Amino acid sequence: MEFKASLDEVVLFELPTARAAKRLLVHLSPHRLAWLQSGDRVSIVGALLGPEADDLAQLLRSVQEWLERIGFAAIRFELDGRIYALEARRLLEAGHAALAVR
Amino acid sequence: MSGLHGIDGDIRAALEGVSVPAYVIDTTGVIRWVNDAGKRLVGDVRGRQFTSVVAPEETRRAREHFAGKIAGTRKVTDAPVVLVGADGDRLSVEISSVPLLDGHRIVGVFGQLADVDDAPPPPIPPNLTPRQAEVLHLLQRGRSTHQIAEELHLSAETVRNHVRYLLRALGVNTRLEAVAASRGELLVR
Repeated sequence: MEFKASLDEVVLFELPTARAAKRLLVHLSPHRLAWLQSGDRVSIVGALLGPEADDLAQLLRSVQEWLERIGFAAIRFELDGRIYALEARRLLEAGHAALAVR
Repeated sequence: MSGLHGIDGDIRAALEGVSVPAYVIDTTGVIRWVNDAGKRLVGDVRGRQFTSVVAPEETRRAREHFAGKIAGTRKVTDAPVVLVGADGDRLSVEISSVPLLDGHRIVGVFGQLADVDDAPPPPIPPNLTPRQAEVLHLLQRGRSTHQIAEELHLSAETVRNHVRYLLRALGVNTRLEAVAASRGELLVR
């Protein structure tokens, strides 16, 4: 994703379309400071982490639930200069179930 | 399915040896596998972000395609892309890519380079915005307004606006002249 201005208290989510980015912003905004990255780039939503130790986990769970609702399988996000993928919970659980069966 | 699962042959080894460049990128965007033909083209780029082998003016579109693929909203992408080759040269290619599935989970993206253009793509004029550069690149590939709109997820009117600004930036009047000017060619008027 190569965001130059990444901070460890900011999480940047990469969405496939501007419309999806606006929908994620609407989902996050009531609960935390979030914004659309401006500029002619892929649609990025930034979210500020709070000081609570479990705030990152809460944010990721909330976005996972949103992924589930909107029907996305996964999105990438950047935290502290590193890139991760966040999967919809349903798919993760299906993966775990499949592992348990094997 | 096509019956491929019923074949005993080693498909993985065949993919390694086939002369068509192929790759696998994981969901975080890291290139995990490149076959020998791919390594000859772009080098051994395993472990690097996929954007590192895409020409700077193309990274935005490449990331959009990738994000759509891992989100599950794009099943197949066939698109022209300019890559940076192993020796630093720009390579004009057509890439066909699909999400890589493990059951219902998307675990990455598999792609093949369908067409490698031997002639290097012309450099992008420095006074163009990244979006104008993308539009110019698609014009160079002979795409129509509607094809460009579809490719870039824009309205046809937005594409026309980009073309208008693009013509102005290049000091020309027609799309043909824009393509010729970007290639350093002169048209007889």
